[in-house]
Amino acid sequence: MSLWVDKYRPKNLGSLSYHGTITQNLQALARSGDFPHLLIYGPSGAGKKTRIYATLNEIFGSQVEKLKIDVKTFVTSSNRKLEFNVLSSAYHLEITPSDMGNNDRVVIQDLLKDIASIEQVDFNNQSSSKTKHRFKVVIINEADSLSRDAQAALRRTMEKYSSNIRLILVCNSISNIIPPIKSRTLLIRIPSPSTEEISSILSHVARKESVKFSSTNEAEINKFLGTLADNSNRNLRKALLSFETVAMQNETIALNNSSLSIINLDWEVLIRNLSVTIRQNRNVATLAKVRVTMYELLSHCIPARTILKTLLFNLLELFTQQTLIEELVDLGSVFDERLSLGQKSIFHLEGFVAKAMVAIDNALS
Amino acid sequence: MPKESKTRNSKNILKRKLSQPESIPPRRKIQKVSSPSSKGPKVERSSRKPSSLESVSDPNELQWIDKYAPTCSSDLCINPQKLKQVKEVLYDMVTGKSSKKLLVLTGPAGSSKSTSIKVLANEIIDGMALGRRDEYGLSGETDLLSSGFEGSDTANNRWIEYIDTGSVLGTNQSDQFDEFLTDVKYRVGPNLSVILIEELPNIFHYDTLVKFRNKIRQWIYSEAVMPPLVICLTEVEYISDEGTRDYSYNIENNLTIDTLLGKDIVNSAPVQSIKFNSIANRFVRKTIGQIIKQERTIFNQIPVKEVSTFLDEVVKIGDIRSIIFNLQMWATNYQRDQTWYTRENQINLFHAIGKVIHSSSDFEGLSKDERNYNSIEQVLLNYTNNQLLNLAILENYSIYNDGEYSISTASEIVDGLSTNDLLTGEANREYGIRSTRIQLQGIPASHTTRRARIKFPRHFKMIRQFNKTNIAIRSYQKYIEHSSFQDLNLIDGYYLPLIYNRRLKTRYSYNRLGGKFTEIFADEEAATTDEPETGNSFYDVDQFQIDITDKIAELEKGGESDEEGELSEEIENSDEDDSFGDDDDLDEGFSSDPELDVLISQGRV
Repeated sequence: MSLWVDKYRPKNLGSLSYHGTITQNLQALARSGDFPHLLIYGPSGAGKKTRIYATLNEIFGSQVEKLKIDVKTFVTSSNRKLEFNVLSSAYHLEITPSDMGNNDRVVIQDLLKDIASIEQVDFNNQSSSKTKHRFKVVIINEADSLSRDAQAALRRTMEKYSSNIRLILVCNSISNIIPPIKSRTLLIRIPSPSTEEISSILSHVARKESVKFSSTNEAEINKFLGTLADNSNRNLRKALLSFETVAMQNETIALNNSSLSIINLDWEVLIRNLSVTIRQNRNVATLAKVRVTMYELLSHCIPARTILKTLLFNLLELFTQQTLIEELVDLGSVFDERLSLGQKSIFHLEGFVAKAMVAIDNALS
Repeated sequence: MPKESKTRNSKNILKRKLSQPESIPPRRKIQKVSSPSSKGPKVERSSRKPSSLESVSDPNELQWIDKYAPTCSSDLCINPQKLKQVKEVLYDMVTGKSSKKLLVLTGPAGSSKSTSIKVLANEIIDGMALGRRDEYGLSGETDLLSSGFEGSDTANNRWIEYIDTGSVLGTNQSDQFDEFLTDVKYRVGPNLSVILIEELPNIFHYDTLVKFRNKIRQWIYSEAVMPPLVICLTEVEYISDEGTRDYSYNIENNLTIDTLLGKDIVNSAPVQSIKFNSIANRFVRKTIGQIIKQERTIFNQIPVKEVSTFLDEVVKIGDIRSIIFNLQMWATNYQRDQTWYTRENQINLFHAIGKVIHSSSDFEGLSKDERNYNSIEQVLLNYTNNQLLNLAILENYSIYNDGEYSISTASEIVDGLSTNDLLTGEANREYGIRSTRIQLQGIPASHTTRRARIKFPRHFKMIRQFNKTNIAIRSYQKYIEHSSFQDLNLIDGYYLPLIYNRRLKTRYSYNRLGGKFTEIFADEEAATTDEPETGNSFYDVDQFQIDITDKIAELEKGGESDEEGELSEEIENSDEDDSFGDDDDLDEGFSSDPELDVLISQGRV
């Protein structure tokens, strides 16, 4: 019933299938029963959350998987009511600062103070184990989206309440995290799994689920799973979900034409079409057409940076001239910076497209 | 009828109330002074009580705007066809011939909206009930005054206007409007009056707006015989000084009939709405001509040529009130060779776009540089919503010369706009539009006719869709799957429906999480974010939505019993659980009422 991505998610550190050394470190950490504040980073779909929960599971037992949602309300100084969700188990809380908008500093300070002021009582471990967990774990998702303000506040909180709270910050990249926080946390990088690792996981799932392929030839199956893994940009979550989708759509998966059976994401298709349009027609009218799609993507909450990055990579695949590729990458980084500095992303997205068109024109003529 | 143009906020309401007395006496004077018009039937108002103010003021000291206020419909400065239309509708409402209960007049300031209604109300009702007015006219005016009535100063006026005094008298504003409408309900029969609402309660306060709409709803769906109700609404675009990120088009920054009343009221059968435009030059000229004739002592001292040049300039404003003000100031203070400031008061967005993209036609004869400079200067002076303007230029630069110019020019324009977005302060106002103008000046316009129309930026449509998607995914994230938002949006949102629809036998199918991808096009008119579009609403029936609703119900039931069992571990959360329940109601509400949901989300996001 549950999705493959959940069904085959390792529940404890022992069953993790890749990044052996990281697993060993985490096991050592779990055995000690205590740990410093953690900053876990890496691209999405690499298995950050899986590893965090596996570690917590090791420390606190399966109780950490019994989650409930709370909605906390918070009144800001300007009297606006703000609410955000807190996911919690008996031993930990999980929050996402993007829920809090611009008031993340006050919210996070208040919340952590609240939690820290209550000493955690560890009933389950009272007699059996020598290690008592007198702290509560707070997982902060998307920590890189915390404002500078909030990060600065966090730094004080981390020291002040370190006896009662352990923070686990999760983010994709630490470039937005201020140095004081980096210095107060143990940094653990979870890299993306390699395509080989992904395809071996896929083939494991395929065996367990007895997925039918049009041929029983092991090499052909592996080739197909390899394409699938390639296509996922080394994002395991995406690979598993797209594999399950393919398996659901077809009784038996045809191996002879793998490009047909792979199902691409809708927004990725939109962006790929954009890049093709840009290659074919470069004029003012096309710019206006591109704008329609840009707004379409933005309206579906696709982050502007994701759009820019995907479009750039798609364009790079279409051209071979070395100088053009260099120029496109240069443009991509210029407009990526502008996206972070500016207010309305449409200006910069269209700016990139327009400049890229000129660059392509110059290179082809 | 004198009336300052309004900015509707509570501060001004206060000011208005205080300045109100001065707006009353001048009108009474009119009849005694030289007749402003020689033709048309004139109703002599003999029953006026003399007031102390009246004896003090000399007709020559009156502002022309009061001196020449129209007293009969033929004097109105308005397109006769529009007048006829309003008159017909109002006549049918007054006589009870039509089932319309509410007439809404919308249009720019100074387009004779309320003046028409006042004049027409007197004419129609007096025409109906000639001879009865002295008997009943005075009834109940003294006690009504205290709860916000104007129009009772002259017993003969067949209209009652709502005056918002809440902030002055300390009564609750929204209640005051309630009371007003309840009281005036009985203005029927011999007492018949047209109820005019020009001033509004503080509709920027959400609860007050809801109350206002409810009261209007009650009124238009009432079975009883009601006096005709007229709302005169000056549609205004406000400049938002708030953060730009969540800036969207709603009642906060764009007061229109739709944001005020909501589409359901506007489109309902008992409501008629008539849109006024700026008054066309020839009607303005007619009215102004009358005034010049009357004031010949003043105008005789001014060379005819000067007058006509001045008029050419001033009629462009299109706001009759403002034109008369300007005319009076110019004429009474006339000096040779002195140029009086008569620039357009405020240009609207579409004019501003035109001036930036095509440059202003006012400076046809000048050199290129001067023309560019003046066009931009004109925009900077007269248009202030530069956030919107820059979005609009991005939307419209491609229509110049039908898009037939080099891509490198276009890229420079977009690059300029993109750089502009990084700037702050004064530079942020100017950089984008200046660079656009400079880039476009180099292109020889081969098409003399402008084929493509100027479009309104679709940013706000995008924001609206963005909010919808955001809410849908957030609630899914909250109740069903606690993955990161972007994982859900980028990956799960697409694959899950494909998987579930195959595997699970649910009553409805799963749709793309957060709604389908829809292309977003620009419109030629400003769109409001108040109402969701009909048709593509993904609240229709979606299994995800049902799953969420089920989960909420389950949580509510399960939450209580669960808590008892684990009370010891949940102490610190127990008080949060109360608010939790409340919020669920809210969320359940939105699945059944998308309109409410959008409003909530705007308040919250």
